[in-house]
Amino acid sequence: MKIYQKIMLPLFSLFILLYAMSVMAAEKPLYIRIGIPSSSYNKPLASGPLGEIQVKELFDEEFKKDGIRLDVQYMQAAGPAVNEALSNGNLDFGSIGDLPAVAGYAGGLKTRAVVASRGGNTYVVVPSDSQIRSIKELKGKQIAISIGTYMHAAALKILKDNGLSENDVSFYNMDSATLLTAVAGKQVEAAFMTSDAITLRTRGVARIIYTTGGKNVYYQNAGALLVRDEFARKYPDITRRFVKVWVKASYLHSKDKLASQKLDTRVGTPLSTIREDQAGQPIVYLNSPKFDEMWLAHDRRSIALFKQHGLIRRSFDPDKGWIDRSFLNAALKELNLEHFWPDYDINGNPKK
Amino acid sequence: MKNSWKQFVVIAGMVLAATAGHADDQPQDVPQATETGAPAPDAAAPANGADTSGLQQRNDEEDRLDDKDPRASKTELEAVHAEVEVLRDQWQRSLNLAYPTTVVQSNRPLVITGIGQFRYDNPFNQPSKAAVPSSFSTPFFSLSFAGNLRKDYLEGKDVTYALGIQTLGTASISITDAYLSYQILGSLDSTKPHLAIIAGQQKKNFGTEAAATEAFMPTIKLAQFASNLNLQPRDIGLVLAGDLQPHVDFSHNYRIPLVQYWAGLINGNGPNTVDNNNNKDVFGRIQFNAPVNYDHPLRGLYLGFSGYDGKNTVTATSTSSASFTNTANTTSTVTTGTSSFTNTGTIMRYGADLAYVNTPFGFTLEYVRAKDPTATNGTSLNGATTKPHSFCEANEEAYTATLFYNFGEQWINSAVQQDKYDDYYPLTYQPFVRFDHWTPNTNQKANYSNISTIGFNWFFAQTTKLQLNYNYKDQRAEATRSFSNEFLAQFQFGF
Repeated sequence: MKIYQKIMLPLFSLFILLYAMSVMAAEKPLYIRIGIPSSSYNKPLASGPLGEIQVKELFDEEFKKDGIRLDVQYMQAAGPAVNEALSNGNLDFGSIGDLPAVAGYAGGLKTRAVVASRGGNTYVVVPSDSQIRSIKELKGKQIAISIGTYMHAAALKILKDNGLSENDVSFYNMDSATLLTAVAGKQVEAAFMTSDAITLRTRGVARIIYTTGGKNVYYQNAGALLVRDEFARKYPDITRRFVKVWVKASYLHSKDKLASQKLDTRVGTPLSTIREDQAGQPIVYLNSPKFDEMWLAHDRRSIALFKQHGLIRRSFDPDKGWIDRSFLNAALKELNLEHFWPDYDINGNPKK
Repeated sequence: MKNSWKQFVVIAGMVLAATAGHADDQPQDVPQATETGAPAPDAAAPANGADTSGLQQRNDEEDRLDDKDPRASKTELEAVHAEVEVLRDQWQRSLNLAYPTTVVQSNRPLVITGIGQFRYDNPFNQPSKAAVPSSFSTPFFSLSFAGNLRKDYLEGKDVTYALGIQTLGTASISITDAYLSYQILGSLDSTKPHLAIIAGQQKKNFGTEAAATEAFMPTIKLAQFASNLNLQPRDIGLVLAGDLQPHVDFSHNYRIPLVQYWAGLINGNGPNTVDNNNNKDVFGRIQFNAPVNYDHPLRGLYLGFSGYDGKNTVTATSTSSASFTNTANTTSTVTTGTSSFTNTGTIMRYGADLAYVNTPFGFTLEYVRAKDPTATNGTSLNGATTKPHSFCEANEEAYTATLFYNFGEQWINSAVQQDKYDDYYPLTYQPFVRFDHWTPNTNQKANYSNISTIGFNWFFAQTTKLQLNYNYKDQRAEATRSFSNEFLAQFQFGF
């Protein structure tokens, strides 16, 4: 038994010590780590509010004095990969679409939704020489999609409203880069995808048969900026300040639509694609951080749909425990932006 | 006449109303002079309830192009087009060059990987004077080629291949994996069961450690049972590998089947050789995984049962000797002949393993019992048998337990699969302890070998690690009990 007393017990104690060290609370983090889905062009750059933060160095403006640095991680497997990193404690924040955000929380991932996001469109494309002209003609077809992303959610809604279900088509899971080549190479008969569809159409390899652009907000993505619950509890003030930086960036991104669109081209998306994708949608609407009536109604309906399709195993009310408005409200007040963004009603119109 | 005017006004009004009603059907890139924030109707709104028929406010005014924003001319676009074509042609030419070329080509998709090991082994405090000296060595180098021969984009009924070669200590080179795999049930639908048939030379799926490939073994040396019972070496045959009742967590793209199973029909005579008897060996494994979401604390927990049944032919020799008295009046003995006797006996292995592979803590427990035919050599002197050769059975028993602690990003896909400007080196540290017990014959309880290991794996690049192991060995054969120590350091790189 001596061998155990001499070696094993001290080693076991070392394990415990290592674990204790890893969970010991620090006064402030060295990094704030945020994950986002990567773009189809695989450029490690962000668009939207996070792009604004990077370009205008808003993070350093707030946190440089504390020596805290920003670590942005661009996940090729999109929202599910952000969830995975949050689960493993490799991220503190994640900005993702509605399905991964909701499914993560429903599955037990301890997050809080602290800032709302919205506006992502979904496109249905077919190879340019395809005979498919409508959603109804997708029945029985092989369709490429990024499972678990907001496009998956939009696909369920679009199919349902055209009298189809997931069982009527064959979904093939692909990341965004593979999806582009699969359509261009005619390896699938159709695909649900982001505004990259416009680029494919411009290249002449695909035809868009459907877009949610300009249609009911229900089809669009209502995502969120999530914070890991443990991080928010451990660093409430850091969380508040980061949300403030995000809200300030959202404000700057809401001021001039063309300027914002030009900034968003840094991830590789052509300006013409962004402009077509966002046509008709006010830039203030697209960047509103508020959990308003429209966002909530959309999210509740999505949760019911996801539950119905078995994408989540439990239903929940997002406004009871998941959404934490405290950081957002503090930021809006501090930045005097409480009335800059209107509250949108269930139909997406500004409330009077 | 008055009625005609009224009819005209009504028709004109209807036409105008209809036109206004379809204003939103125009292409979206056509700017419309709608007032900011003013709602516009949406002809494509879903008809699934009043609460969803709402309209997103439109603002086409801010979509007007800035006049100061220069637009590319047709000439400029053509120049860009020409540049892309030049790049394309250069790339094609680099592919077409016969020699020298900087681009490796293959008729089918191909992934080349390799593993190399450089080791320092220092046994010390050894009981015998004939102790093994400390030594540097390059115990293992391998090259593996894998890819698909038929890619089924519709159902994922792919045909894939693997071919590997390795060096083992000496200058000899042998084949490791050499198999074809066919996905019988398709692999694209994560919500349905998967089933594949694998034909060729491959790993046997018995327990956790024996089935692990070189890249994923936690310790430098295998658990004793894996090498002593020949479970680790590859074999040649057919294997069915599938799963049932998959649990899919869409929030993490995580799929874990409730049941995984393997069933194999193999020679049982090891790699790169034909069978030595007409009986084929069979093995099977069933593994029950915790069907939970990725974020669940029980993710990575599984319980497995494995069995192996086969035949093995062993050889015993009987050495005949003769004694005589020479002229110096001394007696000498000379060997006059050797006879060989073979016997085919049953080999049986069965075991259970419980593992929890998660972050940061994890453990594996394995228990194995086995039965093997053995042969004892005989002797005879001057025609009289002094020790008869014999065949009997040995019942072996083994158990091993490993506890590890991970901190790092090595096995987290989201950490590895990211867009980055430059190369990326996820760091992971893995201290572990192991206890490994082996009894070569349960009828002789005094015979055993216990090896306790403290180790540390430092993954300082995605496929490269430094391993440090300290082994404390307590070994007993009948009345002889010995204690020894061993320090091993191994640098294993992969590409």
